[in-house]
This record gives sequence, structure tokens and C-alpha cells, in this order.
Amino acid sequence: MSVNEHDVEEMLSALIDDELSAADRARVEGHLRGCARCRGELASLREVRGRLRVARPHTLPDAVLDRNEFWLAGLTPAPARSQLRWLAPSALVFAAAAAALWLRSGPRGDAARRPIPIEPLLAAHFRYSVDASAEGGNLIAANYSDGWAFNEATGNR
Amino acid sequence: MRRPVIVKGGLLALGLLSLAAGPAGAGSRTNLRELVLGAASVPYSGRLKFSHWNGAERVVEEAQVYFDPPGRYLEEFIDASGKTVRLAVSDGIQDQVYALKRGRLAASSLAVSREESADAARRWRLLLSNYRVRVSGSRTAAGNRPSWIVELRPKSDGKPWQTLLVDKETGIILLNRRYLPGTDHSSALSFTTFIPGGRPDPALFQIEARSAPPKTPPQLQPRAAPELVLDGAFPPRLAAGFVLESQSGFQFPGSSWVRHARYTDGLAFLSVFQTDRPVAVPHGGARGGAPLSTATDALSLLDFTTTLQFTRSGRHYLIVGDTSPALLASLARSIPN
Repeated sequence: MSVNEHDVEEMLSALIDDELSAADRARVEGHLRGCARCRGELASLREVRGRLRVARPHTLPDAVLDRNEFWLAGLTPAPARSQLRWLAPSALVFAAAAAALWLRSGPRGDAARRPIPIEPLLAAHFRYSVDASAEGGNLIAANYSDGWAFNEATGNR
Repeated sequence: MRRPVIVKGGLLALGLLSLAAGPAGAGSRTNLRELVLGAASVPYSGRLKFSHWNGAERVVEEAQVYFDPPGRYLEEFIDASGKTVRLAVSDGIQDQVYALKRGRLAASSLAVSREESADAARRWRLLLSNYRVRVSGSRTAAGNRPSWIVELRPKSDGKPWQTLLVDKETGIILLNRRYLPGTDHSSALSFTTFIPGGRPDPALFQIEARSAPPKTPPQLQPRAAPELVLDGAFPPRLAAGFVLESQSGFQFPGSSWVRHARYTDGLAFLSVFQTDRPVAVPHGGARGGAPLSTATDALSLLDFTTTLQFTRSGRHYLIVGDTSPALLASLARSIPN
């Protein structure tokens, strides 16, 4: 493929990742020799990558499935603006299941004063269902997203 | 030399520009829309790698994937020791995710991922109005698979950039890289091996036949909810080209309904939650999130998450997305009192 100053971004990234074929690598390096702008871009990319140290993968403790309110531990009311740290890819599966368990446990004495836990909301955002029923079969949580459980019934869609 | 194909929002017709100069395999894409949004139409298997960077943290996962068109897939997520820790399976209608605990099915969650694929034409129009899409060349991916380089660049600041490598023969996205310029947030989904053809054994998809059924949430028992009023709860449009895609609600003990609106700009997704109490966003960071339905919607790479919480007219709002905090603030301002 051709290389020009407008099209090298992907190839610069691939160059850093050592993903280019020998031919493409030679072409990119040849282009870099004559292009200060792309050399600057490459330096910038390398600087960013250099800051990305490898960290251990997130893991969830085995006990997490046995706890109904694991996400409540240590939570405090949100600041005005928060940026979430990295989201371990497996956790939402547990979050959705645990959301159901937590909801099944029914209202608690001071539930109305507690902040709403974020995990079921994240589960909804990430397209996992947030559905559960309370003891005795009373529904207290609706299906996420396709809305058939409630929206059809109420005509509010 | 092949010149880049550039599509701008006002030139929708260019979306149908032919890429006929490329090799014409049985599953090859014939226009840009199919190249970006086209569903996989050939069976395949392979090994996927998910990489997520957030500042100094890097999380990598691998999954063995089997796909049987039109929509059946299995993804076996594997940890560093080679142990399967999670299964995502779909019969083409419902997506189910299973967590494994000591090799046994431990929990499951239904995942819904079909809505935007139901109207690909609308999504494409929206995507073109918010992103510049171009085929900038070709290179190899997943070993030596010739692939198109497709770049999606937002027209608004604060949105992630995305680059795809699309297999020329099958149209499968072999690499999907999404990153927010000016930050350390990045994620990538890539095939390290990709083997098209050969239908997978149907028994692979019978997950619950492998082990005792997992604990599952109780079955949903729908009932009318007159207190859930969604009409007018959320504006049809937000700033930066986001439009309302769907809305629904759920409830917590002792709480009124949590109303949830999902917005999209054709590529990115964000959620707006309306609640009667603040949401507990942990200082130490919440965890969760996963690429979902990579076989059926590989374009959507939901990943790093930014939140913004605010109060308006006595109601609490939480916006969740993967845009910059500055853009989230702009979106918040576009929610009327």
C-alpha cells in the first residue's frame, strides 16, 4: 500500500507494536526519514505507550458470588464528577447476577437513604439484563433495553 | 496505488462507493456500509485478544470464538493459565453470558445486543453524520489475512477514534482499535488466529448440557408499572450528535424507578440515568464491562467508562459513556430542566 503523511497513523501504531511486515516497515521507515511531522507523531505515540506499564489483570474473589451486596462495600456518595477506573471484563456478569440477588433480598430498613449502587446501572449500560423479582414473586426490577416488560404494558415507549 | 475512499456526512451517496477493486471472495463487502456494519455471513473460528489500557493499567483477555451464521456464536474466555473463566453464547436470538467457578457454570446473565442491528440503515446515516469514514489502505491482520484499513474519526471533540482492519475475503473485522486522543484510554479487539469456513459442531453451543445448570436470577414476571412514565423523561437529542435509541426503567427497594435512556451517535453509546437518589460511584473505581457480541456486533467496542453525575430540578442524573469528561459536561448541559 502507499504511504503518505495523511495515512500513516495506523501504520505508526503498527510499527510500534512490531506488527508490520518487513516491506511495510521499510516503507514507513523510508517515509519517516523525510517527514518531520510523522516523526513527531511517532515520538508522541511512543511517549504514550511508554507510560502504559503492564499491570496485573483484575480478578474477582471467588467469594463474590456468595455475597449479596458486594458492590456496596466501601462505596460512598459520588463526587460531582468521577471517572471510573478500568473495568475488568468479567465483572459485569457477576454484577448482573448479584444485582438480582440483592434485589431479591427485599427492602431494607434504611434502603431509601442509601445511594443507588452503580453496578446494575453499568450492567444496563453494557447491555446486560437487569431483571429480578422480589420474594413472593413481586417484580421490583424491570428488564433492560428492549422494554417489553413494562413499556408495552404502560404504552410509555 | 489505491487512493483512500473518503465519506463525509453530507455525501451519503458516497457510502455506496464500490470497493470492487478489491478481491471478490464469496463473502467480500461491496460497499463501505457493508464493510463497516455488515454482519458476518461465513462460519469461522479463531482466537481473539482483548486489550484494554487505562493509564498505567493494562488488562488483556483472550477468547476462543466459534461462529455459525447467521447469529450463533460461542466465546470461551480464557485466563492467563489457560483456564476457561467465562462463556458467552448466542443462539442468534438471545445472548447469554456464563461465569464459571472452578470449572462449573456458576452464574448467568442475559445480554441484549440486538437493537441497533435492527435498523442498520438508520445507524449508518447517523454514523456518517457524526464521523468521517475512510478506507485508507490495506495491510495484513491475524497473521497474513489481507485486510482493509477503515478509519472512523469523530467530527466532535472528546469522542474516541476507531480503526478497523476488515478481512477482504470475508468482511469480518479482524482488528478494532478504539482510543480517546489526549488520554491514556485505549482498547483493542484483534484476532490472533482466524480460520474461516467449516461449520462448528452444534454441540459446542449447548452450554447447559456440559454442566449442572447455574444459579440464575429469577424469571422476569412482567407487570404493569403505571408509575413508570418515560414519555418526555429524556430529550430526543443531546449535543454532539447523540440521539435517543431506547429507554426503559428498573427499580430498587425503597426507591422510585430508575429511568434509563440510551443514546447513540451511530458508533458510540452512552446512557443517561435519572434517579431519585444519588448513585454511588466508588472512589476506587467500579469494575465491569466487556466487549459484547463480538461475533455479531464487532464494531461496538464498549470499554473505558467515564461518568458524570449532576442534579437538575430535584432529580439526579448520571451519564455513563466513553467520551471525554468535557464532552460529558456538554451533554449534561443539553439536558433541559
